[in-house]
Amino acid sequence: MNKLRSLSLIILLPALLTVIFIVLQGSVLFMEYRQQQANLYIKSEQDLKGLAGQLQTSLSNSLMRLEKSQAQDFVSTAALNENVKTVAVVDNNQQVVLSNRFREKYMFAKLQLQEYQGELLDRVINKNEIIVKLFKDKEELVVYAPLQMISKGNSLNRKFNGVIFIRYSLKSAFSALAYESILRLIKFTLVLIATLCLFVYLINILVVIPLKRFIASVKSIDINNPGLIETSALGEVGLLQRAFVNLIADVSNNTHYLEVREQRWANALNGARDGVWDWNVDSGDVYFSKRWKEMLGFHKENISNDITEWENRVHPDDLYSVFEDLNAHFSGSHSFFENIHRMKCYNGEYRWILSRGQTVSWDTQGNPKRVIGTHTDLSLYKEMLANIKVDNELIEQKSDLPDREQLLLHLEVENTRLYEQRQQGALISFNCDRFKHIAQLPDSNKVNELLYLIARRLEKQNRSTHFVAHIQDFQFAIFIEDIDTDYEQSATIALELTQKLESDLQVPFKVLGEQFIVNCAFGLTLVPSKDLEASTILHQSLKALKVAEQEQEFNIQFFDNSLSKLIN
Amino acid sequence: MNFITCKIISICILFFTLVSCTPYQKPLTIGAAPWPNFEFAFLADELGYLDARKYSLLELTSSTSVIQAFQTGKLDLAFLSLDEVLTLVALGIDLKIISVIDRSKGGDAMMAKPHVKSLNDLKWRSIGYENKAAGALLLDEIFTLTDLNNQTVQLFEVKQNEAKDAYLRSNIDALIVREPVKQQLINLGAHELINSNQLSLPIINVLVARGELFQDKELQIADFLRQFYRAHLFYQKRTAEALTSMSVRLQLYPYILENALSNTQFIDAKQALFRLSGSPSSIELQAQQLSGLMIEKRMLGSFKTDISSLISTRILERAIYE
Repeated sequence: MNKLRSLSLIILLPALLTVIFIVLQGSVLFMEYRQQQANLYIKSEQDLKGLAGQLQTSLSNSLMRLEKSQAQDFVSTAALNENVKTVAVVDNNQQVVLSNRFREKYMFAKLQLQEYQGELLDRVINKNEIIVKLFKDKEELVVYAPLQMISKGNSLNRKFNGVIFIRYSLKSAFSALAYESILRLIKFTLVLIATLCLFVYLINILVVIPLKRFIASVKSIDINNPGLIETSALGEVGLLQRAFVNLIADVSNNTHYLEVREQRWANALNGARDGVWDWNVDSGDVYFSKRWKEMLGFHKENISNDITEWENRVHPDDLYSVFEDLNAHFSGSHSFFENIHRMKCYNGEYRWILSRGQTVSWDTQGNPKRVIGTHTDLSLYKEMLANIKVDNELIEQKSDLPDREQLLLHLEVENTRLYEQRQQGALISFNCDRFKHIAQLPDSNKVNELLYLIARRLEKQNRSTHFVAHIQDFQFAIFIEDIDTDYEQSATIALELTQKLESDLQVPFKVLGEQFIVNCAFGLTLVPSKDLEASTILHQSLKALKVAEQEQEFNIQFFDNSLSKLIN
Repeated sequence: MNFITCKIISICILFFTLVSCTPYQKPLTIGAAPWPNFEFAFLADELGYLDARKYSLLELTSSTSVIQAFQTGKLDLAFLSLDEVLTLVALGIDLKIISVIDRSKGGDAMMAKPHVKSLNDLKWRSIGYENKAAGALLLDEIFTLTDLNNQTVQLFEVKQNEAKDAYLRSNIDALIVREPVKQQLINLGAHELINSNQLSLPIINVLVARGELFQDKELQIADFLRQFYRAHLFYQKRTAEALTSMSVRLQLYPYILENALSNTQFIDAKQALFRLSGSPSSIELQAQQLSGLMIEKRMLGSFKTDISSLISTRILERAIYE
């Protein structure tokens, strides 16, 4: 089929026209031939009847005068036609009396005469009937005509006692007819061939040669630098050439524009150090950018363009989440695909990859056809995050005091109890690194050690009514229970305890052979507070602490401003 | 194969197709009256040597019928005697003598009823003869040899096929006939008064072809000649079988046909070519003499045709050597 499509129009068009012509003209000529055959049959039948009539007269005269030799002469003369195969006279005893073929004379007609039907003899003689029979398979006509052979004396009654038998072949006439038809077909075909030659010549000049030149110039064209393309052809070919030139110009402009855009994106992606993937979902083929492969330690040739290259490298523990996110995107739940997972590198190690993508092409059933996205290497970030977490855990372990959560639980319980027992308590939040000097120390071991020592000193101050907790960094909190029933008196006692705590903490700490003096700020709030959650109470004290940290004159502040007078 | 080669091949195929598309050809019509050596044509047909699509043998009853059929264009080839050929040429018929078949060696004769003892007894008697045929020459010879003339005898036109009936009728005393009718009359009691052996000029039988067909159907005619001589060869090798077959057609006993054949001298193909060849050829000389005689006896009006132009050896050469 492809070969047929690539056939030149110079061959295809004339071949089609020739086939159509031969089929149509052949059909017409065949019908004409059949019609002429029928006409020829009718004419031959009439001619034969005429010949039989003539022979009836001449033979009857001769035979009745007993001039048999003359009758034979008539028979031989009547057969002077290559189509007349037999002219014979058969008597009522079925004997051949006369024949153009001497050999058949005086023989039994049924045995000697081809196509002779003896049973017709009675019918022809008695009914005075001329019978014509056509033998289609042999293409022969046979005529039986009655013949009066013997004179009946004075009787006027005509008595037929013989038959003229004529066998006429239509073969040569039909052959001549067929030849004429073929000759006509050949003549028509010659005219057609002459016309086709002219047609082919014109097609060649006007269409094929301009198209070939055009194709040659198109093959050699550089789309970024389109040279001269032939546009001088006539008619539709010329239009095609000019349309193509315009198309090339548009394509060139668009290509240039796309190149600029692509370069921009490439630069952006290179700058971001992201890898690009372009997945054809139907075929399973994926384009992996060089950076994508580099991220996993592969060179260009180490990895094929198949989706399994990606799938097989995802950490088994992350595979489910990857598929889940992908399905969520494909089903339309998420407009983007985004997943962080581990991927196996060339050397067998795993790297954390942030994969992001979006479907850019869908089929008619709404299934994704093409998905494009990027890979970002998160391994360094993940490592840093892990270090930070470790540090935090170390800090909490170094202070060795209850943490913020434990404080809140205790505070929740005590707030209710104090309210029910009409007792007052206080929550003192303080920061031992008011000016952030210690936090900026480069040696974390020293910081941790300092924290540990602060916590131990706070524990020494601890009484049964005190609950000491480490909130974060250098922030600590002490909750004091059952101070007094009076609000203001309780505030005064809490303030005294705070000042006592401050003086304790001002004693220098010796850490790894170095002395540290901590500078603290304190925020106080009194407990209980009806309908307040523990976190709110802690937040009040921290708020007071923040005010104290910013205050130049006093480093101790109450959350309740009405108690500020106690500090002054 | 490039496009130009394809075009050249297509044009060649078309050309040869057209060239090979020869027009439809009717079968060649060949006619002969009964005569012993002409029977080999019918024998060839009977033996299946002749393709029915190419040849149509027409059986005619007398030389007159053959002359008429040839004259009217119904025959392409005809077996005729040389004098009959000259008669046709004088009438303006374009023909070619393509072979010499035989020479009458008593095959043409005057047969008389038993009461006519000699030629001189024919005075005031009736004689039947075929005017256009070689019999006229024999009649002229009789007039030369005796003091008979057309004033002292009553002449009737009796064609070859009518001779037997005429003989049986009492009003004809003598008939000039050809074989095999001569043998039939002998069987009826007739006796021979004179025959062709006594003629100063021999009666030669030839095969002629129509002038316009001569070149177009050369191969076909040559093939017919080949088959004609092949049938004669068959007769020579299997005489009895051939005689039986030929005698059936002529409604004769084989021995009668054998007798008839003995009164002729068959000229085979190479001898025939020998007689046709040369300048002047043997046939040409005989034809010139015969035409002179026929003009003298007023059997021909005038004869201006160059006899050598009537003779062609090419077909016979092809029949013999190809």
